[in-house]
Amino acid sequence: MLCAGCVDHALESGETTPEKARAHTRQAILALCFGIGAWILSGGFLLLLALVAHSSDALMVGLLFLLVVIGNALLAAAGVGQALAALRTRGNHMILATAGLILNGLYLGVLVGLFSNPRGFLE
Amino acid sequence: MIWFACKQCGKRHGRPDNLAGTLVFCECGQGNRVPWSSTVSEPEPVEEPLVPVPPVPPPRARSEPGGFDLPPLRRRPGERRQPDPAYCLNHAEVASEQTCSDCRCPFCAACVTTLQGKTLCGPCKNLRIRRLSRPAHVSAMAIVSLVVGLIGFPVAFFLTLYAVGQQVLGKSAAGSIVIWLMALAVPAVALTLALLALREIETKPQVGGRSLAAGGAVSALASLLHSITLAILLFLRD
Repeated sequence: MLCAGCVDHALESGETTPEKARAHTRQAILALCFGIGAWILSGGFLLLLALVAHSSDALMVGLLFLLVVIGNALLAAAGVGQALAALRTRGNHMILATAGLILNGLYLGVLVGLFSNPRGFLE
Repeated sequence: MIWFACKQCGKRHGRPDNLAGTLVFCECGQGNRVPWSSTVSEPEPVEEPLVPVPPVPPPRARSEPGGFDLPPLRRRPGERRQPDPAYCLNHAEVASEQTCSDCRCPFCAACVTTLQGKTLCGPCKNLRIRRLSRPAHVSAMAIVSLVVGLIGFPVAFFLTLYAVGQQVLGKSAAGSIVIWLMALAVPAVALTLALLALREIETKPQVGGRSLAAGGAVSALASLLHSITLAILLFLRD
């Protein structure tokens, strides 16, 4: 229960509302989960690809790996969005949001770098 | 007319013929079914002696000397009361000192408060605080930008690779350029929508969905970065 003066003071000082604080926490955790998930899924499929590299299923696993990598890129893009929103809102989970931003951003950067490699496609 | 007596108190009731069979309640609370024909005799009319009514003087207007203070007229349903600007809306006997910034109604000093630099009455203050605490509604443009961005990412990715493959294999350069431009179109639309959504979210406090718009913008940017990088590398190679 707050009086009008305290509400006015809170609004003027830019204090985060409970709704924004909850949104910040949710976005920071989601960003971290998306980043970790993207890396773990890609790493797992890369490991699987390495294990079946010399078998007859290598082509199928390679195609699946490509699809997973592309799917994870979408996950990482959404994760960057969540992290940016969490950092913009500000709150008590800035480290989580920053970690999510780094993980997701790195994933996207690596992916764009890998698939823009001229040696892989042009030669 | 059907006449019957209450089963409990014996009071005589009369109902029109068309109400036979219906249930009526006596003043004692007993429910009685109206019979099809009278069960008691019709009561004889009572003739009361006429009492002379004293003449009532016509009311005089308030403006006349010695006029009556008539009670205020009752408002009809839906009729809006016109407040007297000289008096507080809540306290009809207290002179007004302030005006609410939102509803423009007159109030005394005890009935208003200051919120965000504006003088507000109680209901308007509550309404403003409720609006502020209400969760922001997600921008439709942000949702569309995210969907277009997520769809555009694989589309741009594979179209760009296809255009590069065509160019490497020595096919028509114009065809490759057209495919490459098609690859750029979807992320460009997504990026435009995301930027518009972000601007709307920043300017309107009650609009949310920043994470969705940012996600759409990032996916669109990644697609554009990949497509343009490959195109530049291809151009440099040739």
